[in-house]
Amino acid sequence: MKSLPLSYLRRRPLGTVLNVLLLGLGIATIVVLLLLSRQVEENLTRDAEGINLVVGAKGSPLQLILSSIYHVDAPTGNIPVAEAQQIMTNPMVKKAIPLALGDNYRGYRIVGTTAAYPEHYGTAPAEGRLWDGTLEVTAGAQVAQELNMSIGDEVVSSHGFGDGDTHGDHPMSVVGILEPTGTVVDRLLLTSVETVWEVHGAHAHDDHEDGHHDDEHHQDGEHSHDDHGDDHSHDDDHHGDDHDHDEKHSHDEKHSHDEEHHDDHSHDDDHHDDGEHSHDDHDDEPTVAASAPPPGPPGLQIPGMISSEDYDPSAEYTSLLIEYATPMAAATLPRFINTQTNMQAAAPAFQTARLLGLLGFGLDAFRVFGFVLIAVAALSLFIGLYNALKDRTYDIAILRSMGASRGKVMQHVLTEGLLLALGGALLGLVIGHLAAEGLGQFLETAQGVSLTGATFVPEELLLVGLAVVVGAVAALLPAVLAYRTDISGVLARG
Amino acid sequence: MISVQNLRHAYDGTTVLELDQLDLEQGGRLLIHGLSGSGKTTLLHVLAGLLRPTAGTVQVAGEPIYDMAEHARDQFRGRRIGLVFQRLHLLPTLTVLDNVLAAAYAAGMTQDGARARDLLATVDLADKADAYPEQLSYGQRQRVAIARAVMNKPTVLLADEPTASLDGTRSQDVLDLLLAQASEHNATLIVATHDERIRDAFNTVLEV
Repeated sequence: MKSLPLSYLRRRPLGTVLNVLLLGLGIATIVVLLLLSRQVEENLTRDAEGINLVVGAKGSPLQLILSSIYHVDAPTGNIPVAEAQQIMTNPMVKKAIPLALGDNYRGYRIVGTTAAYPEHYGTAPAEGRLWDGTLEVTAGAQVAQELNMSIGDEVVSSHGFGDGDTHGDHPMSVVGILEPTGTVVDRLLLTSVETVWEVHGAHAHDDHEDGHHDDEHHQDGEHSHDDHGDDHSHDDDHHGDDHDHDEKHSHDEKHSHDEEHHDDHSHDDDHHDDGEHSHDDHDDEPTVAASAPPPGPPGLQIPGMISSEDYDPSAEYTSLLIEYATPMAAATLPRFINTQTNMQAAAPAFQTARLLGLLGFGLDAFRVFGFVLIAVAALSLFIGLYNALKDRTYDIAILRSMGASRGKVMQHVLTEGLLLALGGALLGLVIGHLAAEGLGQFLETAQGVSLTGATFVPEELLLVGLAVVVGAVAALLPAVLAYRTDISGVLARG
Repeated sequence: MISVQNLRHAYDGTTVLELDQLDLEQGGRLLIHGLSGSGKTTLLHVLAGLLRPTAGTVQVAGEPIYDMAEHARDQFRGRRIGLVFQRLHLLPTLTVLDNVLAAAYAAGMTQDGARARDLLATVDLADKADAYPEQLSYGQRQRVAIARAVMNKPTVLLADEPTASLDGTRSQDVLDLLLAQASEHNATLIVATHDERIRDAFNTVLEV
């Protein structure tokens, strides 16, 4: 004899399909959320692993983290190498990796850095080698695969992070392809900081020849000198008169250098405007500084550390990725940087948690939607079973008359509910994983975010459990009615 | 062997059934005769262990069935009592063969497919084993119901108005089938009916 509950489900295929589908869609919604949020969280955590602090130009700390660790948003600006070195040599810093950002190649960001960067993410060239001289790049695994790159290929970077101007006069060559890591490095092109400077310096000149790209510059947070205007006004706020001289000194140096540079070209009006602007700031500043007393002790910053002779003053990093030498650093270093320097320090762990919190709000809305679907499915399941049961009181009475106990007929109805629920859960898992995979592939091409449906999270078992509970609850009242069937009364009405 | 003493049953305070004494030996034939609403279905249900009477004792095959726990009574009914109802109540989602096997399933006994097929052959429905009840005529369904009732080799075979919807010839066929099946298993046969045509086949008639 075939299974009675199954035979009843087959008897009303439309109702069965509807119930399974409703529950399946509810479960699928939650599965997609689970899979994606888990992977986003994992990706965010993996990319930021071992990085305790990011130091960059002042601005939104979240933006700094996004641009310097995840390479999504635009950078907040740049920081002078001298100031960066002050942090890099700080005894509380175990490892500091400089980054210079600003260009992309066909949508993949070019990152000027040191060999410590790929090392940090545990990758090394699978083919070829790391960049050595300037104008050499080593491609991340995914970039190489997607763009079908091979060693010796020429890369002409574009300015900014969209389809900006190309740096046609500074072609770079691919000298290596990195092993895949499953981290953000796979989607980057790595080169030396000097390469970025060189390409960029040229770009800045091009800009000034054209004389109309400054706005774009600002938006992208490029190596723009305007940032200095902002930075120095900050400094003045903090340190007042004590350091004015030194800073003006380095600033002047910078400008003289720039002017030399620009003399070659003879169209530096725009640039001069910028320079003058920041100088104006300095002139105006003392009154502002006087009205707003400096918040920190003025002696903490050592003016001598900013040595204008040691580096090319036009050279700037975008940010530093820092690993602490001691847990104590977490308490003091960020505060020191934020209050005593022109730079800001942002902790990836904190900012990532904030970002997930923001995302979580949207995810919660979806989750509620998923649970509403499940609740509707439960109701539909109940109505289906209840109606079916009314048509079936004679069948139940007959089964009882043939010796089936109350428990047995109750069990039949519960089994029917559970079969529907398990069917829904199974369908939900299948749809959920397929949808997550589809969404992952869409996001991968659109956003360069790698997500997949081919992974499982333990919570899915809880969802199956939830479906079973839903099935059992929906079947409970009909099952109790089956249990209580008045056999004699039903048969006598015959 | 069936024994009933001082039986009384009331619905909502209205007595619908009173029977001081009824004794029937194993293999006996009893016709319960009465008009509609005379309480004959009630008596049949009480005898089948489906309806606990308001008062009185009922023994079937020597067992006081209403002294049993409900679960035990269900099992006793499944294994010892075969029932045929006026409305045939085949399970619509199961095939003819599975409907016969359902008797064994409900009683928690081994589902003997060979026996079920033999029974279907006996009631001349061997070729309908895989058909569904809705594909059968009323007469065919009645024969399936009888096959199902005797599937577990019951000691008591109870039938409620088995011939009510049938014309003379078919009525006689059904009666013959019930008598033959009861004889084959030496089962006590009790038929409740208002149908005068089948009266002669019974050695005992109880008027209610």
